[in-house]
Amino acid sequence: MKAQTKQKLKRNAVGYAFILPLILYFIVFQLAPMLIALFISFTNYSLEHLNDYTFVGFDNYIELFTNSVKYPMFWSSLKTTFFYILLTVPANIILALVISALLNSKIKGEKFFKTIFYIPSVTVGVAIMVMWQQMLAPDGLINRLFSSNIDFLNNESTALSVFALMSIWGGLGYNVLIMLSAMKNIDPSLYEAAEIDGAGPLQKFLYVTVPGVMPTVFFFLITGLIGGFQVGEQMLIIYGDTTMVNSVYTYVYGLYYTMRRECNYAMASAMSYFLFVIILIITLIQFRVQNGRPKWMTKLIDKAKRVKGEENVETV
Amino acid sequence: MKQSENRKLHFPRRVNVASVTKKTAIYIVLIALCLTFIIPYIWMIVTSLRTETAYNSTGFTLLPLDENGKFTLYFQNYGEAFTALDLGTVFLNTLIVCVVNTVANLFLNSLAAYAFARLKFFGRNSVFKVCLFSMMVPGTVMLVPNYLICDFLGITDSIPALIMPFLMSIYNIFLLRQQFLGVDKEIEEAAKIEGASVFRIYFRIVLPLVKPMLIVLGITTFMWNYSNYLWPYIVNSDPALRTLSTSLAELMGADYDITVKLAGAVIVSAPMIVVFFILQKFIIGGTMAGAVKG
Amino acid sequence: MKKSLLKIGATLMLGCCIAGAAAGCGGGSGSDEITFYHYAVTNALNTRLEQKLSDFTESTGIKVKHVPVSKDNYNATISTKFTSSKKDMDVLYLDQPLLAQYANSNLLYKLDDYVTSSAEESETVADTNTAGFKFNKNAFNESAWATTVYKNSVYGIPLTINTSVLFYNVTTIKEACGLSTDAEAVEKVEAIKTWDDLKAFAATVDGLGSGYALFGGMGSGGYMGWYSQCFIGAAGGKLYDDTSKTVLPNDDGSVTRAFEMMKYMFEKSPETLYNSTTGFTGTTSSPAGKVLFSLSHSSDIKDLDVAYTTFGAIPFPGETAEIGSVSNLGGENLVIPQKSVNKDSALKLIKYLVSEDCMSFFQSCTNNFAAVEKYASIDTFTTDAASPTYKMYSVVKTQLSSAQVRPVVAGWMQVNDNGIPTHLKAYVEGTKSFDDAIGAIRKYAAQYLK
Repeated sequence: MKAQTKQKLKRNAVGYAFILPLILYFIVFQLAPMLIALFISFTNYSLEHLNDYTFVGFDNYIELFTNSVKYPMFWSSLKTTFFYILLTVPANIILALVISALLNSKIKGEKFFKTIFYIPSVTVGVAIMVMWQQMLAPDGLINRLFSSNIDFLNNESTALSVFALMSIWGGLGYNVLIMLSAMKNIDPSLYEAAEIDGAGPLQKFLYVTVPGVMPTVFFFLITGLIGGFQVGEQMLIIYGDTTMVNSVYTYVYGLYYTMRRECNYAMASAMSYFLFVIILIITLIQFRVQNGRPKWMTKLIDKAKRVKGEENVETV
Repeated sequence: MKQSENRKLHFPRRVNVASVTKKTAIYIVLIALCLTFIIPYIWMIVTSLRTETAYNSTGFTLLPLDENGKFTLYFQNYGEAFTALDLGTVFLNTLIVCVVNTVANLFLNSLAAYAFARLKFFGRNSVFKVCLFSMMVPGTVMLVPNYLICDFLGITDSIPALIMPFLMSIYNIFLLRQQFLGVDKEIEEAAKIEGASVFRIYFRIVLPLVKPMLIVLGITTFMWNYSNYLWPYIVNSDPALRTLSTSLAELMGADYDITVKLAGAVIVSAPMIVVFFILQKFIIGGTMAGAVKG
Repeated sequence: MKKSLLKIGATLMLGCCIAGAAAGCGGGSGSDEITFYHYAVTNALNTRLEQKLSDFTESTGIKVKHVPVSKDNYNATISTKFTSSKKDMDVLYLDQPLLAQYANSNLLYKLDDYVTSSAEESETVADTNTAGFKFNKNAFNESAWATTVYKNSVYGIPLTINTSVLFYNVTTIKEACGLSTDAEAVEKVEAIKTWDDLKAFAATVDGLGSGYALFGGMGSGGYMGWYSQCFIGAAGGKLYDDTSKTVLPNDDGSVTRAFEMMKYMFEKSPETLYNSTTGFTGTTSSPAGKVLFSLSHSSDIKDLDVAYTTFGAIPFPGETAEIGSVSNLGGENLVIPQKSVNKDSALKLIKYLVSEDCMSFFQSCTNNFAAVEKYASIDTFTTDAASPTYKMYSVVKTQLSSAQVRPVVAGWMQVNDNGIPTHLKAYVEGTKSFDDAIGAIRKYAAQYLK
């Protein structure tokens, strides 16, 4: 009995020895900042009140949600962020699906294409931004190519789409790799079965490939949502702290403005905590969908199974 | 299978024509897409080799032409970008930050990940869950408080300020744990019976088994630190402590010719792209393998 | 093999931490070293600045660490430094509208004890205070000096100043008005003294609003806020009334008329060209568009020194001849943070930076004019008095005498960057009425002004 306790103690000691660095790191650089940020968001800590800040309760949050004069961009920045997600996430998924399917069709040079598409993923973000900024300038590469004169980055109607395109372009290589490996994991016999049933390439893609990579699509959806809500650094690199191009004023860009230009650290913390809540909700939905499927979804799947089963009966 | 072979025998020409057109179409699409990836880089390199006047006085071109339309390579932009970036210092800073962070990350993350995957100890799952929860916290939450913490520790305006907040990564721990869970337990049991210590098993037996994942994580960690932009700006203002990313951003904001700025972008992005081409087999293979298991 | 790798890693990590810690300690403010934050400039100018600072060190024994930061990141960097517990921050460049903000937060050192107004030409006079000298406010441009005074206290010393004038593209105007020589175009534009003149001129140009843009330089954001002051000032109005604390006081209808004029300029410009700088400069390779006039300042003149077309500038016309030409004022001040532990050395550095030698250096790197009046010289930019460039600089220099100061009030930066441009833009584009726009600007200002 005693030896057992001793062994247990030793096991615990070894375990904690392994995660000791993590615990230290976690407390200092994860937990403490989270709590400090939470605390700051309930004060008026800012450049104006560096040493004489006071506790203000929920004032920052209330002001953020209700004071549309002082924070005119708050709700519209959420909308902008949402548009950005709408522009990027579906396009990312569809492009990754299509390109991966093309690469997966037993063509030569698969490796070459994968390598080329991956280059932006290994290019420094700021360098990519310098490159695109100059290419999109009114007298840059793209305008010269089409003999046009569009200031893509400063035009309300083009700016957000341009950022979406840049992000899709930059992420394609990685997305294709992930999607392709999911496709390669699909049981080849499924394709053969479909072929026997007389399915063409399109049918095979729609009825075998797409359902087969559904988990990956779901993964892209969630990471796209979470990443999309945090978009803002690209805009910061291109425009600096302020821009009048309202169509690219995303939530996090507004957060950077509050933090860097207005130096209102308390409000910036409140804004980032609100963002945290949004991300938390998305993640909880993800867990729900993944683990305990909601009733409607189970029903849908059952129905799909039944339909499929009936069809099988007929064909046999 | 047999059926399709039969069809091939019956209509050899028709099938071939169809598949050739199909393949050609696929190639056209892929090559066109490839061009949208290659041309920006070619353009960036070419423009960085021209003078500002030459760049302004010609229309669309992917050749390094001077203002008279003659093929000329102008390297002075690189000299200027080199000085403007303060490349010697900045490159060394970046290298230190990236190497230390990568080594520390691989070692410390795998240590924790192994513990979460294999070792049994009190509160293991709770600790893991708390860590996972923190993954949801957006990075922007941390910016202000992390600065205050670094200030408290007295490490603002120093290299450790770029290292310490990123010594570990919960996300990488999560990925590595998945990898360790996939490792066959029997090998470890055998080693345990032979009397190997836990650390030895982890370091000598399990770690080598997840090498592909370690390579991928090493490269992504390196890349992440290499690209990190916002934090170095906040915590370090001393120009002698800049990294390649921040130095390039400074170059971008200062009063230089477009050609010099692009030369700077080439200098900063080239090392990682070269490394990528050398290690592409591991990177692409590893990323795909990680995707399957993760 | 693997063990050695681990050892190397561990050693590297340890070494780095120690080195960094050492750097962290060494980098602190020693008693004889001060830190100077300024905007980043180009290599050539950086080298010259370093030379200037080492000259200073040689003559005074005070070491200067200078920290160049790009303009985009400047405010974020220095505000972060203010929150830091480290004190290595002694002299700063500060954009004019930020002075009130920082002074209001008690972050800046009051310089009242170091200021005198002497009729003598000499820039400084000896005195008994700790630094041993005082700045003579009479040596500085009067408007520039006004930007450093917040609530009757002096918080900075002006370094460089700038103002907006109306630039025009001679080639485009020649083409648009169907004239045969550059001289005719120049003559035609030089005759514009009032808004009516400008409107009469516009009436002679065909295709304004479609092929040609009358005006392409209102900018956006902070620039729009800043440029609007030209129009409001030229109509006899002002941005802020100190006594009644009113933003855009409009008792005399001056703001109404200024807004109408801005709307007129906008309507005479196709939307794609309004705010288009390339439309104004129009390179030969990409005839981007045709903009006749642009509101800009001397920093942009170097971009107008191009081979393919000629540019000119006129003072910003007043609404009427009685009001005359009025424009805005911009530039940088030098300030000392309250937390600096080397204020005497910092003062000495500022004294050195506003000397004739350094002033001409700052003129050449910022393309602004020196705030010390007798040092403001066009010769720094070009010595060819017959060149268009020289003429443009001289117009800016003349305009400086009628440049109005922005309100030195905490929170003006937000009003300037967001409040005014957002609603002014809505007004000129026709989506908001004048009353709505001005009401919205005042409402916004009420939230931020202190």
